[in-house]
Amino acid sequence: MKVKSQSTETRELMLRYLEGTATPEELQRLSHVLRETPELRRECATTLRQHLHLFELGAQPAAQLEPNAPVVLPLDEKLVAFPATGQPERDWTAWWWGGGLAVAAALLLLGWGAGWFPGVNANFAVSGTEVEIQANENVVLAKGQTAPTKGQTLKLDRLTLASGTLRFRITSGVNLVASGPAEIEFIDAMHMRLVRGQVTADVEPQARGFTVVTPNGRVVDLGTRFGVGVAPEVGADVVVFQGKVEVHRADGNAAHPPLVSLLGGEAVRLNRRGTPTRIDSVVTGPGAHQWVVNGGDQDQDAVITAVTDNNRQRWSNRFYPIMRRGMNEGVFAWPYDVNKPRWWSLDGASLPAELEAADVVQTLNEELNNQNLELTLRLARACRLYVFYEDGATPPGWLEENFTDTGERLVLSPDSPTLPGDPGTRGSYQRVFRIWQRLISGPGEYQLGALLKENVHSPPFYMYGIAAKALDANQQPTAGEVRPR
Amino acid sequence: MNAGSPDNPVNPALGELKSPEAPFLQVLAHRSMLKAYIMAIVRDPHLAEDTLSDVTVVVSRVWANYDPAQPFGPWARGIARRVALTNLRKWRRPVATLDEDMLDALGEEMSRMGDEGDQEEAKQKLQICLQKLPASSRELVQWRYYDEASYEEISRRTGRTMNALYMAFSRIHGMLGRCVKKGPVIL
Repeated sequence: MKVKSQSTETRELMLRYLEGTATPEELQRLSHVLRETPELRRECATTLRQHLHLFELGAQPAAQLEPNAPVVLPLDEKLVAFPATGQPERDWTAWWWGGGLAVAAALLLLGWGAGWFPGVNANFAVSGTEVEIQANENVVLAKGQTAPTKGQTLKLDRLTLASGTLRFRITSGVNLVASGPAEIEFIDAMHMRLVRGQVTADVEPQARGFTVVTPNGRVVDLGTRFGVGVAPEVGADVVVFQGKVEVHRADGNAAHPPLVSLLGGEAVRLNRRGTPTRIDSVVTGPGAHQWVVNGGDQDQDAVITAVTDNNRQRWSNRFYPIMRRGMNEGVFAWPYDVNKPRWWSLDGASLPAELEAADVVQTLNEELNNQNLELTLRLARACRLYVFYEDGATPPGWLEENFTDTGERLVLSPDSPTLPGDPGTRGSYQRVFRIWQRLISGPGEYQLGALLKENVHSPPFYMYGIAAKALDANQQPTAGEVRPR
Repeated sequence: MNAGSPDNPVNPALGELKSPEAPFLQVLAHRSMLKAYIMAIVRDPHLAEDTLSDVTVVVSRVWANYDPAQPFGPWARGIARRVALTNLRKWRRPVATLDEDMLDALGEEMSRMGDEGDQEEAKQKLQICLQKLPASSRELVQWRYYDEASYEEISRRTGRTMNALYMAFSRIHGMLGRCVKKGPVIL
C-alpha cells in the first residue's frame, strides 16, 4: 500500500485550492497546515511560486517543453511517494513497518542504491552532465564566477560564457568549443540546448546521435564536425564541416523525417519560424574552431567577408568557405571533392610571398560551366584580389579585361607536386594554374564571372580559385585602377 | 522599518520615497511576492497579471498614505487583496478563498524566499529542472502550464482520474522543488 507523505498531501491540497476544486474540508485542512506547520507552509509557498512560474514560462513566446528529451531521472515515478528530504515522516515509518521493508530490500538487491532511503536527499538526481575542460581561452563567465581551468572535470547543467572560448569534452564522446557570449543548457550527455551563442562540435563515433537543440530546430549528428550558432533575434545557423547532420523541427519528433539533411560543406539558417534557407558563405579561421556566417567585417584582418552568387536553382546547400588568412602550402581548394585537390607552389616549398596568408575562397566546382554565373565578393578593405585560372586554358573576357597575369603559377593537386612516386595516377589530377591579380582600392563588392568547360583542356575540370590579401599602406592603388561597386 | 529584510530590500535606486517613481519601483521590487499573493486569491494566471497592474495603479494613487516606517509588503498585500476581491466579483468568479491571515502567512513566506533576483533565478533553475523530468511528467506540465489545458481536459486525454492527476502534479511539484532547491549546476 502506498502512503502519501505529508509534503505530497500538502502540495496536493494546495494545487486543489489553486485549481478551484478544493472541498470545504480540504480548504479547512489546508488552513490548518498553513496555521500550524511552518515547514508545510513553506511547501505551500513553494508550490504557489512554482505554479505561477510554470504559467509564466509557458506564456513566453514560442514556449515549448522539449518533448523528446531523454528521461534522465533514475526514478520510477510510482515510487516518488517516498519522503524526499529530512527525517522519515510518520507516514513513511508506517509504510516501512507495514511491509515496505521487503520492497526496499528488493530494490537494494536490484542495485538501486542508498539514494532511495529516507534522510538521503537523492531521489531526484540533479547530477548534471559530466564534462572535461580541455582549454580555457580568455573565458569570462557571467556573474563574475571563476572560470574553469584545463583538466577540471565538472558536472554542469548550464554554462553562460560572457566572452572567450571554452573547449571541453562531454564524456559521451563529444568535443565542443563554445565561444562567448553563449548560453548552454546541458540536458544530458547526448543532448544540449543552445540558447544563444555559438558551439562547434566534433563528435566521436560512439556519440553519434548527439543533438543540439535550438529555439528554431534540432540538429542531430550523424558522425561529424559541425557548428551551430543561435541569435534569438535572427534564428539558428547550422554549418557542417565534415560528415552529416539532420535538422529537425524544434517541436517535432526525432522519428519524423528531417527538415533537411546536410553534408560536409553545407549550411542553412533556420529563421525564427524554423524554415531553412541556404547560407551563402562561411568564414573560417584563423583559429581552428573559429567561424562566422556571412560576415566577419569587424575582424581587423578580414579582407573577403562574404561570397554570394546568382544561382537560385541550386540543388544543394553548399556554402562558399572563406578561409581567413588560410592561403598556405597545401590548402584545400574545395571542401568536398573526392580527389581533395589542394593549392601548391611549383616547387612544393613556398608559395609566392604576396599570396602567403591571404584570405582564400573555396569555390564551388558545381558552378563550373554555369554560363550565367555572377559571383560577388564582399571586400572589407583595399586589397590585391587574385584569381587562379588554369594555365593554357582560354581566359574569359572578364578576366582578361580586369585582371593582370602576374606570371606566377600554382599547382592544383591532391598531393605535393614534389612527392616522389608514380606520376601516372597522381599526375592525371595535377593542373598548373596561373595567378591573375587586380588591385582593389577600398571596401565594396566585386563581381567575377563564369568559367566554361569549352575553355579548359580536358577532365577533370576545375573551377577557378580566389584569394585576396590586404594592401600595405605603401601599396595603395590609384583611384583609376579599381572598380569595386 | 527593517531595511534590508526580504520584505523591504535595500535598493538605492528607489531613491526618495517621495519621488513619482517610488510606488512603481516598490511594486517592482515586490512584484513576485505580490503576484503570487494575488494568484492565491484569483487563481488564474491572466487575472493575476491584470490584477497586479490594477494594484500598481492603486498603490500609486494612495502612495501618500504609505507610512515608510512600516514594511511595504503587508501594506501592499492589503491593497492587493482588496483589488483582487473586487476583480473577482467584477469577473463573476467564485470568491471562496483562504482566510486573510492564511493568505498573509503565504505572502510572508513568499517574502522570505528572497528578493526579485532570487525569484528570477528560481524561475531559471525551474526551467532547467523541467528538462530533467520524466517524459510523461513533462507532458503533463506541457498540457497544464504551457497549453493551459484544464485538469478535466487532461483527464480526458490521459484517461487518468482527477485524483490521480492531482497526485501526479503534486509529485512533479515535489521533484521540481527539490531540484530548484538543490540547484542545477550553473557556471
